[in-house]
Amino acid sequence: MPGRFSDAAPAAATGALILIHAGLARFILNADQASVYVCGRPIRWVCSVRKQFGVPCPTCGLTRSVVLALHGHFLWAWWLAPGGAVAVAAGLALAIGLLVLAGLQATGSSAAAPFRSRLRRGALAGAAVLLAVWLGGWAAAFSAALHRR
Amino acid sequence: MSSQAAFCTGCGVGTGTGNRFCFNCGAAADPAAVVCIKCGVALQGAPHAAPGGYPGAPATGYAPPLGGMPGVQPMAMDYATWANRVIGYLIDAVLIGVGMLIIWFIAGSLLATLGAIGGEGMHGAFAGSCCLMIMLFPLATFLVGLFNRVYLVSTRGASIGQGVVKVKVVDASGNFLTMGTAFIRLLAQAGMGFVPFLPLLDLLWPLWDERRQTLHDKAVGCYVVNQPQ
Repeated sequence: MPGRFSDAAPAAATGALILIHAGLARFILNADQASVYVCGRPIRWVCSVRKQFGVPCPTCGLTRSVVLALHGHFLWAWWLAPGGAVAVAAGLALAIGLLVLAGLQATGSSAAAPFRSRLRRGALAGAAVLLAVWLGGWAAAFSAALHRR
Repeated sequence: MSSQAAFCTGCGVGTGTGNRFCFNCGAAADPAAVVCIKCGVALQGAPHAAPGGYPGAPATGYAPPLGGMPGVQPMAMDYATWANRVIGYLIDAVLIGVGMLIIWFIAGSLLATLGAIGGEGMHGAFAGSCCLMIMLFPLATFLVGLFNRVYLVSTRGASIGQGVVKVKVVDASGNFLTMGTAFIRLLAQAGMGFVPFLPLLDLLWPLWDERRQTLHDKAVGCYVVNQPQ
């Protein structure tokens, strides 16, 4: 059965947009373990929670971690904030999955419906893992900061 | 073909002998029938429904939106207009703004108080509070959404904004969404917020979609339709 462009378009557009933005972010942003650089200029924002209380907030290090992961430094990213590394990996996997789904839908393949179902379950599982890793990483960093005080 | 025919001329299956009814015209149909003998609509995947409607269907006259569901034929449906959806969305956005203000005041006051105890005062507490500001919108969207877009949508079919513009969210069978489905729909919408321009594409998608679905509607297979007047 031939597929239809309108069936494949939502998955194709979403997947492509995720990949395009990941590519743009990789091109514009850079990071080291101390700060994020936009077109080579460092961002010097300081987290008010860390400044006030000496402990990290849940988002501390996430931007650096995401940017490092986008540049392929997944180990550094994991060490800095595990949630960022998992978010990038999950986002890229989702984008590729959506493009594969769009291809199956465009060709009218009978595998499209089961693949869509698996992709949905995978996305939910990925979101759950991401949440657990993000909060777990923050709890570990919080605990380490408390011990250092 | 006569409506009294014992066998369908299209597929050869016996008709009208079971407790299955066509969801389009209400005619009796054999459980194994592929198409309705009266109106010719494909019955594959159709629910076993009583004549005149489908299980749980509101009495609006619209048929279940079967397009996009595997093995089911698309049917006409009274989809909500894009303009109505946007107006409802903007009303819901105002609620999110209120939620943001409440969280900002609570968290800001807490930080200011603790900062003052620590000797830095309010200025020090708010200076560079980037994390609070960054987290404010997704947090408010999620917390307000749990009530407005999960609880209300699954219990009465519409969020507050959707209720004002008289539209509601239904699944492929015309029923209200379950809490789980509404929650996944909220997660999909919130997740799109992390990719620049994807929320805009999501909002604009009904303009060219034949079933006027947003991307987060498609993620869970639901539809937004006009409420009966």
